[in-house]
Amino acid sequence: MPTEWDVPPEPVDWDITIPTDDTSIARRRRALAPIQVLTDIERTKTSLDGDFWHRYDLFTIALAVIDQVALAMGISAGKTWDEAVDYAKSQAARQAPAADDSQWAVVAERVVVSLVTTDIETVPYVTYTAAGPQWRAQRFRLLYVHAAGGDATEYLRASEQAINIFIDALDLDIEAAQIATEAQLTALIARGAIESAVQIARYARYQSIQYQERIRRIIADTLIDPDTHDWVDEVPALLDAALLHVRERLAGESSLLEAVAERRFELDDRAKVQAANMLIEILRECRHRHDELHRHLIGARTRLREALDDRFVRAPRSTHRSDLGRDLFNPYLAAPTQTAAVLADRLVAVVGGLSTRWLPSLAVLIDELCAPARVPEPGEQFEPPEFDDDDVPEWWEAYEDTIEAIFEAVDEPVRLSQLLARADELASQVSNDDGKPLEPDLLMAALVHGAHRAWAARLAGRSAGDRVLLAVDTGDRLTTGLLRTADLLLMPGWVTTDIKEAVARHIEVPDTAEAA
Amino acid sequence: MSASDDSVDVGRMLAWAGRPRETPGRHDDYHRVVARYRNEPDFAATVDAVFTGAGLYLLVDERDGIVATANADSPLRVTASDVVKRAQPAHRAAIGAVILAIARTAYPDGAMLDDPDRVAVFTTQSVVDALDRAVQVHAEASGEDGPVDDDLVEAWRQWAGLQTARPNARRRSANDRPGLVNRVCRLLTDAGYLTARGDTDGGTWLARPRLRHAVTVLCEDSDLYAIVNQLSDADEDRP
Repeated sequence: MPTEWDVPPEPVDWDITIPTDDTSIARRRRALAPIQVLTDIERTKTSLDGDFWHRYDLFTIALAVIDQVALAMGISAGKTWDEAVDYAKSQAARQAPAADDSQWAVVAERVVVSLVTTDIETVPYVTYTAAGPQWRAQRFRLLYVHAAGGDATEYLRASEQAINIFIDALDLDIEAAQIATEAQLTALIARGAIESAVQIARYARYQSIQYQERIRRIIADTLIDPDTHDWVDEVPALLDAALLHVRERLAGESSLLEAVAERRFELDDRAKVQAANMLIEILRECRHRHDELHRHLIGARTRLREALDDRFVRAPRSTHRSDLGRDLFNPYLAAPTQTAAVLADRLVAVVGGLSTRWLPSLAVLIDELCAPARVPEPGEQFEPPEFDDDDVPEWWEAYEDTIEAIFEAVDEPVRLSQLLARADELASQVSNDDGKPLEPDLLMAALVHGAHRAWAARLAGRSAGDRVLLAVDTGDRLTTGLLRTADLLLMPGWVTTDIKEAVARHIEVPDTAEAA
Repeated sequence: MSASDDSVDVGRMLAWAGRPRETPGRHDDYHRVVARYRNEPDFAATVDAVFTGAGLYLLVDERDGIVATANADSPLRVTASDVVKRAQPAHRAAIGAVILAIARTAYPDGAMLDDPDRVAVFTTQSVVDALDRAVQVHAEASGEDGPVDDDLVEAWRQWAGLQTARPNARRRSANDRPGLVNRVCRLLTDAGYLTARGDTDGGTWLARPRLRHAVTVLCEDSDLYAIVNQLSDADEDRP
């Protein structure tokens, strides 16, 4: 490969000076990698569901979210998930004011989820070693969720790489950068260039946040596993260095503040005074952050010791721990279904918690019972629900059949009382399916019901020539020990013209009268 | 502390264990019993004895509270039928695979189980992708058809047999791959391990720090390891 790239040796003294060396290129490559993530969010938006994505600039929203999260970060807090989504939503609303709330919410959620999901970004890059070019993979996340406080409230925090984007820092040493910034600030303030000083102070603010983040991560790592860091020499040295750094920064910021306050009185330009005020505000915030960091560092040793005590009591790693992927996940997939099914119950038992819901609540039960039947998906095999149908007729069918036969036989007007009088006799003549005679009382009840149905005979939809049985109230009452009813007069009749379904009731009346 | 007070507090422990979404930081009483458990070895031993009798294993963390995991034969356990009604072995096999895939997505590295502040955020789609990739590897490695007997078919074929999600589907199915992952995630949400955060990519889930305790139990369960790796073929009477 090198032969192809060899520069033709024509001008021998053509000594090309490369302004940077390979390592610095690699450093810059690493520092620029996070931007790739943001570009990807913007680039892949066309493959998402919905036709509104072209109206939004996801890159800008993502940057704004990271900025907000970074600025909200103290030692222990950040922005909560909902705050971040709300902020992203407000940015989306600014980009497409015509759209509606739900669309902004989808856009906002998409951006936050893209920044936060656990799939760590892996960006491969090439470095040059003595053995030739080699591929390395850089791993990082831009935002991450962090559980903080006594009740483990979840906050979003920005990683060091994410903050790098805002300070145009191509992998700088944070401490060196901060000292340089302070020198710059002092010089600018001395010359009265307040506006430029504000710009620099903004950077300084991001740098403080970044420093906080680095210290926090180192201490967190140490607390998780003290063996990863040498806490006899290295960690205390690191903490000392950090403390010293913070103390110096605090002193430096105080003197800067004083210098700006002094200069402010000499300023006559309104804009400049305003800039000076802003500078003071930013510097105060920086000082506040360093104060926080200071407190955190002072407490660090105590917390470290507590964590170690806890370690010794509980002896971690005393049991063998299987590797999730290698020892469990892969063999599980290879196991036969029968074994896997048994294992699944075991797994569910472990991660399912306690089943405290022995009985469903009434509301849930009603919801489930009243839920509409599931519509089968296209292509899915449909199994119609099976209802328990048996061909045994219901007990009352014999009675209904009997009174139907009686009504069929009516060929001249007859009173209900006359029919009821024959009920006893009829009941003994007719038998039901079991071969037993009908109950006369039940037959009488069925007769009364049937007669009242004829009182309000349904005529709509009948065609000419149909036989109908009609009942009219005679005004007489019929009272026995079992019944109390109007003694209806039952009359046979014929429909003379077709009656349409939609015919109004008052037209039906003359028809029936004629029929009668 | 009298013996009856102890009994009451054991009961309180059980009551709080049944409310996994609460934390000791928010309730005085919860905080009190957790502190008692951690500071009084005798009380802790009593509590452990009672819970062991009910087939439960307890992990008590100052911040995350009580994490109770059930044995495979505990009457208080949640079963696969709570995820899918009348689950057939094929369904169960897929459910187990999803649980392990979720654990792996939340903790890709074993050392992450030790980080008390780790809050993993993952989407349904990322779990489906992880399973699809793993199944693809198995499919390429085997290269032939599975056995006829449905009980002997490898678990990965059961996942491969599930429907894939239809793109741009209006209505989500509960039976395709993302649907099953979401069902398991909802079970984990009920058990206090996950928090649902929106619908992006089929569902966005946030693993609460207490999930690491449950996953650690899975990783330290030597019986589970033995069965998964089919080391227990010698004694068939084991479940």
